[in-house]
Amino acid sequence: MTHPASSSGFDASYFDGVSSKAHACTVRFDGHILRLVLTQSGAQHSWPLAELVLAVQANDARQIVLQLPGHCELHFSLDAGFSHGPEPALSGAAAESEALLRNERDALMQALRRQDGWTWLHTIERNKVWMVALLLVTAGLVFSSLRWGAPLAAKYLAGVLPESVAQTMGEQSMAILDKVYFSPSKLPPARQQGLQQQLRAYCSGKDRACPHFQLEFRDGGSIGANALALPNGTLVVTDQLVELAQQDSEIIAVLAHELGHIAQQHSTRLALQTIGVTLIVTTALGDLDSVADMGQGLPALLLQSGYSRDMESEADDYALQWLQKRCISPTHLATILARIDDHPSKTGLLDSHPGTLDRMEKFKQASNTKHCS
Amino acid sequence: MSDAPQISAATTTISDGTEKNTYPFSFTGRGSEYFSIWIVNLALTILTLGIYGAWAKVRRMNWFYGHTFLDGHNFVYHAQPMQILKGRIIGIALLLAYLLTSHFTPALGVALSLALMVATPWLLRSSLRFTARMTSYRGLRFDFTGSTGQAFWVFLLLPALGILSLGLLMPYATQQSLAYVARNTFYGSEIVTWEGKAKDFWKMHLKGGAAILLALLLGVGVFAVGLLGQYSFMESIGAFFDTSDENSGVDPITRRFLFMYLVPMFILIYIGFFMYTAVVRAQSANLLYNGAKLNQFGFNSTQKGRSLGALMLLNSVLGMLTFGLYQPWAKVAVAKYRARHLAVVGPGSLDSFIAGAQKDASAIGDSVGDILDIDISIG
Repeated sequence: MTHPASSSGFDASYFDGVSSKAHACTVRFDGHILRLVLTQSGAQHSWPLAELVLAVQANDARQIVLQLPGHCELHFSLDAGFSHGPEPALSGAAAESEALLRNERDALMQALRRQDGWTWLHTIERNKVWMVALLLVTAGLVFSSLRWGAPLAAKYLAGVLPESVAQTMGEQSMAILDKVYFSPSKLPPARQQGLQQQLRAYCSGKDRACPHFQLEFRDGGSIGANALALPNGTLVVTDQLVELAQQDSEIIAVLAHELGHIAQQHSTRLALQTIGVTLIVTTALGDLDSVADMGQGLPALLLQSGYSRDMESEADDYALQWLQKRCISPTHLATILARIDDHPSKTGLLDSHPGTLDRMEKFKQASNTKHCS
Repeated sequence: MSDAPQISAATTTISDGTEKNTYPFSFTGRGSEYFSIWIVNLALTILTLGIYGAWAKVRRMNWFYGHTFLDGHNFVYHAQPMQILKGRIIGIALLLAYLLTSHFTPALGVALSLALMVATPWLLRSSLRFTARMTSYRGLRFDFTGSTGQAFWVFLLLPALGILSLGLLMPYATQQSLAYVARNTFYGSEIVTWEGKAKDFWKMHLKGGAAILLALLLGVGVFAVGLLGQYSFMESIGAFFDTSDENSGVDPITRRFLFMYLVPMFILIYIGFFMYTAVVRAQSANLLYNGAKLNQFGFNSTQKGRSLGALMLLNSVLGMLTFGLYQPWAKVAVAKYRARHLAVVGPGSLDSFIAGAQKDASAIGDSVGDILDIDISIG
């Protein structure tokens, strides 16, 4: 006959996985084996530590659940009391002191957490200093990757991306533009030819290389006076811009800026950057439930505008050099800009372009120093 | 600190001669505790480029479930991170595919986004199933047995019809989706039965619609009163959104003036949208729970659109003021609210349920939906 185990231990509820009934029991833990005695039936169960799974992981949990083999569960509270067995005289064992039982329960929790393997995590979560350090490192990494990492990676990737990708992008974008905004150009063919020839002339000869381009004219519709560069080298100039210009050099100056976009693969880089940022933000925050707050979109918007402004500045710098090499005064770019924008202002945070005033300043200053050959 | 579980003592009320016990839910978690978990989750997820997200989710769900008590026993979330990680990897791959195609080949991108939209019901259903099977209460697991086909009907086609019918079919759509979720849920071997009256759903949508309408009217009214006779409505809207330097026909002084009137309008519309969401959420929870029965046990859900809306609004404002750091407290406040307004009512005790057959669940649907921000927030 087996000796009846002492039914002292810390109080717990045993669930046999067959019904939702809570079976009161007392639990002992000797460092290796967990033993429990069901209060009503006196039945005993035991399991080695390795078979126990801590199902409630939180540091602050007071109600603990252990998953036992065979779909059983053991629930106990860290604040629960202790039951003491029958009279020492009957069981032959001394009534265990509460302190001893409390220690056994604590030892069980420690052993379970150690077995869990995440003690370092619990340490961080409980230690304010660690948390702050972690936060600072993370914030720094996120900021630098978004501010510098994504643009750099995009620049590199744009360089190694196959030609066909840029080609497709350009073709599809042109198709959409033609469908939604543009209509065929109303400029006389002779005028179009003239401008084509001028640009080609500026792109032939020693030290006058231009990126591969194809000049197209369109009626700008609601877009008005403007020029665009597409990833496949297509340059689009609207009729309205041509009419707004008082000298051909002004149109050429705008084209120089657009060539800058093509030379530096801005569309592709911007697309890659957006993808990168979206991916970073989504994977990092995807865990934090629905981020439906209005405030969340603002940083992304600011970032996007920041990237665009950098690229527009790059294109302006390219245009300046391009114009100076060909002895065209950069003031022409300033002039046409002024005419497009009736109310020039300084750069705002949400602007996709640097403020016209700032740009005009740059061009006017550049025209004071001529590097004409 | 002695914990809440002990106060969930049942109160006995007698009606039509039968004794009914009320078992209120309670939530014992504290915002400050969750903050630690939340912050570390965020940092580690970012540092591991999202891989830790699977562990983060488990820790989060485990914490919330573990602090939810009913009749002195808590709920347990049993999912393991590796299961969730596989689903996440697929989710990120899909996201990447979508982003690449939408930027470089827009035509294909549109096709892919349509495909993702169609896949959403499948993801929702998988998510419901996985979460159910990973949840236990008093040692018994839940289950969800809804079919994918029904999911398409209830989560995609019916809502689409609801929109196409200018809202006339929306109450029916909501009713059917709640029915789908409720009637396919098992606790142990016990299936949930559910009844919902059409007129209740009509009431809910009308109330919600009224909230939005009221906000819109107030907002536009403020705007109109301020600008009657000054500028045409379209001109003003156009000028406000025209942040570029080109083509701006409105001088800065007028812009500031418009700002003064448009900002209150947008704020009122924002509040109205919140109230609408809160009304729908609160009423949906009530309709879902109050209509459900598990054997002899029913639920009593008493969420109110106004109080939930006020809470959500406060959370949102505090969240914006603290650059998002308030979120853990916000989530805890909502969990407390939901628990406070839910109880199980029935005769006898809760220990008479029997287990169902044991099943496994794949986590793919659960985590893919996660990454793509798909979620059912009912109750």
